[in-house]
Amino acid sequence: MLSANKRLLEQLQYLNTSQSPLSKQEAERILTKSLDKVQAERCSAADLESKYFQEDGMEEDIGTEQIPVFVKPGRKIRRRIASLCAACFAAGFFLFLLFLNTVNPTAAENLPIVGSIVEKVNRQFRYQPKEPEIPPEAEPSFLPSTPEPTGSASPSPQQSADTLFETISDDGRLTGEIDSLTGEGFTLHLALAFTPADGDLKQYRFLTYQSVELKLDGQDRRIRQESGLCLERQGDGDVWTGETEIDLLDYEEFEEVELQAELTFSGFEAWEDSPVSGAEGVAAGDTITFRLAFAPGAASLCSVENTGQESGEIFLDQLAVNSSKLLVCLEISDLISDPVVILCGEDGSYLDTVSCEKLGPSSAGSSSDWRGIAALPSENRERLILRVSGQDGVTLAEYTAIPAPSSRPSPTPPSPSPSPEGEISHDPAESSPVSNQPVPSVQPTVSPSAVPESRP
Amino acid sequence: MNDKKLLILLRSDPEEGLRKAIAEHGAAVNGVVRRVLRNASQEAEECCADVFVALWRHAEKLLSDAVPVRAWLLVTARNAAIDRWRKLTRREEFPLYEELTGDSGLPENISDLEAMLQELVESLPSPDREIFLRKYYLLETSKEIAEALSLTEGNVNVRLSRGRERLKRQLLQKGGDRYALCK
Repeated sequence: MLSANKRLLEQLQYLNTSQSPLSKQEAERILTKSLDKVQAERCSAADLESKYFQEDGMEEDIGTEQIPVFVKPGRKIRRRIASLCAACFAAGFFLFLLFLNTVNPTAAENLPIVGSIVEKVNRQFRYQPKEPEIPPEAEPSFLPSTPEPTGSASPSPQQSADTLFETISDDGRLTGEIDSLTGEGFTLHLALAFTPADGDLKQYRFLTYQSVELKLDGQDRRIRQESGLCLERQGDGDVWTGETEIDLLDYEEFEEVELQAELTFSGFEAWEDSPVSGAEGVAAGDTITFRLAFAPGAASLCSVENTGQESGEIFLDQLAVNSSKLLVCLEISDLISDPVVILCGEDGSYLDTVSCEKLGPSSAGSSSDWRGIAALPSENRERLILRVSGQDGVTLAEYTAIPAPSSRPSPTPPSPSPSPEGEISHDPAESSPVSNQPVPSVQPTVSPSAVPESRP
Repeated sequence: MNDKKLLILLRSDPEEGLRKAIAEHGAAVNGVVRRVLRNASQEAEECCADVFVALWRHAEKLLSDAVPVRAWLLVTARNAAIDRWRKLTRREEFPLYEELTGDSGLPENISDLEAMLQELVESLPSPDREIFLRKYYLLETSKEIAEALSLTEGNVNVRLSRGRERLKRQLLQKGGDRYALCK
């Protein structure tokens, strides 16, 4: 038809016909609509075209049309070869990764992109089977009223030694002690108590640290994490406590018996509007290094049975026993002005009176914190009974401590502390804050070993 | 831009080609479309878009047959506009065809009629041929034709009337011949 009408069209081509000029918006709209339609036609044409390249070589019905299919065997073969190559490459890479991870896991973990995946997988494999073994270290102290498992989980007498925790400060301005150490999975909750040398922590109520270097088993494995301690003053005394958490998730093996830790705190910050400069004692940016040594088994030295006689006026906070000493921390109502704590044998016979000192008001408000330490009898005891009574002699609370086998006092006196730093003082009253001496003294502190099963 | 370049551009870069085509021939196409779809501006735009899409679709064939693009666009615009008008009004016949064929018993097949008309219009003397082209292909009014050809409107109408009578006779004759052949 086009060729037949060509002459007519040529005549029309040069006719000067009247026009309706398009506005810019109209032209744009027409263009948009045209392009949409062109695009739609192209897509449908592409769909139709793709039907021509069916790999099965059969004819394809599209509506009523029979469309021949052009088989392209070359393309098919190329595609298969490409798939095979990709599969071979993936398998080879996987095998290489497996080999490398077996031979040198660190190198595999340091690979780009896949390294993180390998690390996660490795961590899963390493930790999962060992999880039940963690409690000796990670859940050391607070398993109330649960008899301690005997045997391998407990440390040897030498390991538990005479101290639960050793805290050494080489700073001289600030003495730090481990107040408590508990484990929850792979997290260590560490509560520290600080005693400033001049009795005042000045305005520094917040202690940040840029790093915690934790040496495990004497090996150079370090954790670096940034965190801080919010210090709170305990009662009216000079003791300031703060808590922090140390993540041990990155550690592979710490089922080893001895756990040595060295924590370096650095970078102090002032609390609120307190001036940083000019304060005595600790200055902003100072670094204090504590070496904390604790035996994992030390936390499981004893368990406690509440005899049910605990009145509403006395709560047991901590009860710890090691080879020679017993530590008890109590929260006693202020109505009881002068409590008496007696240590008895399992038959109820009197052994010793626990000398208690009042630390200060407790967080409850109407009660105070008390701490008492007593020397343990040399003979081996299966159970120890602790009685708390008022001045009138009426027993207000009674607890039964069951020392773990490793911590029971042995007939022969234990050897001195294995700690090379210094001599252990058995009387906490004698342990003064470390002064500016080149070789720091050792302060024995005790850990909370047990918590009563229930508190009202 | 000449027709060849425009058609090549349409094939290689539809967007740019359509932009150029609309800029160059949009007004003429719109003029034809608007004459049919006077009161339907939305429809007129759609119709114009259809015309240019058709140009893109047939670009290769137009290029190979060396068809004049402007004329092709005008005819396509006219046909597309009439198709759209039919859909809108649900009427089969555009008034011009009714006017031309009336009750003449001419074949109802539009394509046959178109082909015959084209042949007959070809045979008309000048300026009647142009008047018919303008009237029936470009759908111009008598007034517009008169202005374009420097004639009076009455003169255009008389020439159209005479030409129609002539075409009718020829159409009847040709139609009759075809009917005779069919029978």
